[in-house]
Amino acid sequence: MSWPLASSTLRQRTAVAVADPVLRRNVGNAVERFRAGKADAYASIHDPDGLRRAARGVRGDVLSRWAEVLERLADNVLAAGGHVCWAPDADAANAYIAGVARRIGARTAVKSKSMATEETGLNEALAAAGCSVTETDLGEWIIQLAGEHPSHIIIPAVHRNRHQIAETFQAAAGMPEPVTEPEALTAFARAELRRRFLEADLGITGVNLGVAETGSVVLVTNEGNGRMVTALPRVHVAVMGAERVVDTWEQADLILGLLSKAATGQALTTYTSITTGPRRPGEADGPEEFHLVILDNGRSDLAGSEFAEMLNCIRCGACLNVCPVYRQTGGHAYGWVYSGPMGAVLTPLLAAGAGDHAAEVANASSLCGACMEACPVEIPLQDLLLSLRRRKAAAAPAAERAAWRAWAAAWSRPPAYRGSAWLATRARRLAPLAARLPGGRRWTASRTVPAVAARTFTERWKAGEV
Amino acid sequence: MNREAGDRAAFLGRIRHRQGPPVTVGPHPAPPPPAVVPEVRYRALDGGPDLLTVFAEAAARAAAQVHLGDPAAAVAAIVAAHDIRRAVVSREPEAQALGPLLTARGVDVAAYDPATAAAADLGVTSAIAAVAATGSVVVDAGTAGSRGAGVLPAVHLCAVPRIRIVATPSDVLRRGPRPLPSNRVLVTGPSRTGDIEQIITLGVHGPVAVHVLVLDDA
Repeated sequence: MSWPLASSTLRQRTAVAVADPVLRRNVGNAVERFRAGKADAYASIHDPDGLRRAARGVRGDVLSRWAEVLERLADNVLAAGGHVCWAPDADAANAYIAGVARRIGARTAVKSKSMATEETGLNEALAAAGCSVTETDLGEWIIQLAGEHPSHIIIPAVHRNRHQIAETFQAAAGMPEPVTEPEALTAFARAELRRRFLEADLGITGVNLGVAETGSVVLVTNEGNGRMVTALPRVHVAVMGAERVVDTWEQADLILGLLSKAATGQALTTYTSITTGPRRPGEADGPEEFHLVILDNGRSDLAGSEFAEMLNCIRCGACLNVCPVYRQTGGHAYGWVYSGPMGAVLTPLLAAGAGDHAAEVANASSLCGACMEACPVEIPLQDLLLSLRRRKAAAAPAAERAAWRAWAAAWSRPPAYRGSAWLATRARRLAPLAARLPGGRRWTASRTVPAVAARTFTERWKAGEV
Repeated sequence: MNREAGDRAAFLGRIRHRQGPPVTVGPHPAPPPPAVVPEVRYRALDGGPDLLTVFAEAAARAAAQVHLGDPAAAVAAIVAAHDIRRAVVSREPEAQALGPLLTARGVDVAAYDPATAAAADLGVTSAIAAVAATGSVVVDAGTAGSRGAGVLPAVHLCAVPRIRIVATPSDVLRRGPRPLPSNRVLVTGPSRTGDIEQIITLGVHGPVAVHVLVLDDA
């Protein structure tokens, strides 16, 4: 599903989200479960913080040699008999994959979750090329049927309960009986999607990690759809964000050793699948062609910038699970592909074409820093969010900037600071009138105006009262 | 056919132009990369316990069933528990050896192909290794001759010699056999999802049950 940044404002989307009790209960339960799982998983290994620090160092090292590592990956994919496409942007990636679909006469495709292809809107591009795409990750299929976007990168349909899912299956997938037990719903999905796996001409996946040393792509899943998509259709296309690479298997091992523990609390997900080229002679299944599409789409702009460490992200979702903002709103409030703290950083950077609407997503944060603590590669998300907000403030209207400058000037000088504090105490009964100032009502609608004291601290100190 | 599309030089040029060491933006500077990339050390392996014991516990936590001892008895139990009528067997000798045991239980045994596997109740493979810390088995498409034998049927039976049990995933990912096959997968229990109200449901697209038969012969 094509994904331009939502044209609503952050405030509008948030208001919708916090008014939805099903969403908030489901999101609350889900993130609690994941947090508990992660804590248990980290408790089962030695020195997780040391490993996280090393992982941050590893990702930084790889990205400081990013071009060389990508080149090695591409050469080894080719050596293993695969195809490589260098896609500078969404259109290039979609055009290449649509071209593959047309060449092989693909009428249907099955996809194992790929956030990068949600970014590019691949499904629509393939539909235009006469190839219909079925999402096969259960949560992604549910929201595809419902015509929605994911609201969590690991559990995309977290905002829907069993009754809503059953309704969707009945309305859009032809489920005959109104069953609502999760096992029955899953059984229906299994049967329906199995048919599509067996019929599909084209299999599309994302890439959790590309490993340059051997030209391999690693896919980390629980449901088995990733394995079906890479075993049954004639052609496998893997779409990889260009930054999702490591150089060596030592590095890959460390990252994979942290990824599922941070994401879901599993030591490993059910399937850690390593694909190196297409099927080999004598094998009874597997794709005849393997294609790796390397997608830039704004990522290279971050290299060497103050936001470069955002490229370290391994898309585990741990930051979503600890974020006090995400917990209350779920993913749709962020308005784009990526949500939670990582979405609050990526949206202003990658969806930059959308201007203000993208920039304001960086406000969806209390800067509490829980995200960095949770991140398995120690991305300083709150520092990046502060940088984005600094950037946004520098582009604010002249009047606003002048007001902040005046305030900063006043409060940097002791006489002006003491004078304004004295004035505030003497004018304290006027404080509720703040709501009447321009922008004041919005400011005070969700904040309590502080009760100002009758005299300043300096006065009381001089009087010996404190 | 030229297997490379797009402009490699332009793509990498954009990156080379900008790449560099991490830029510090706040009070959390990036550490230097480690001289040696550390391995994850699992507490379950502290003190050097018996790997089979650790494997069995980890596999059980992942909802896989582990069988020791007589293969015939294990096969009989599995066939009965899941009402197995048809099985596909992959190419490894350890998997092939179970064919006659299945036939003796009245199971229709065939070589793997996708259509046959999709209609089968049981898929039998071996593994190039088993991982004690996580309870995983490692299946190579080259050795098995396919990717789908352990994933299409509802039940997966994996017969792995005890001597192939290694301690951690690092033993496979860093030190596993090379060159890599077209596909190598670490399988940790049956397929599952939490997508419906975060209730874990087994048997989504892959198997609903995984049985690991640990073989005593070297």
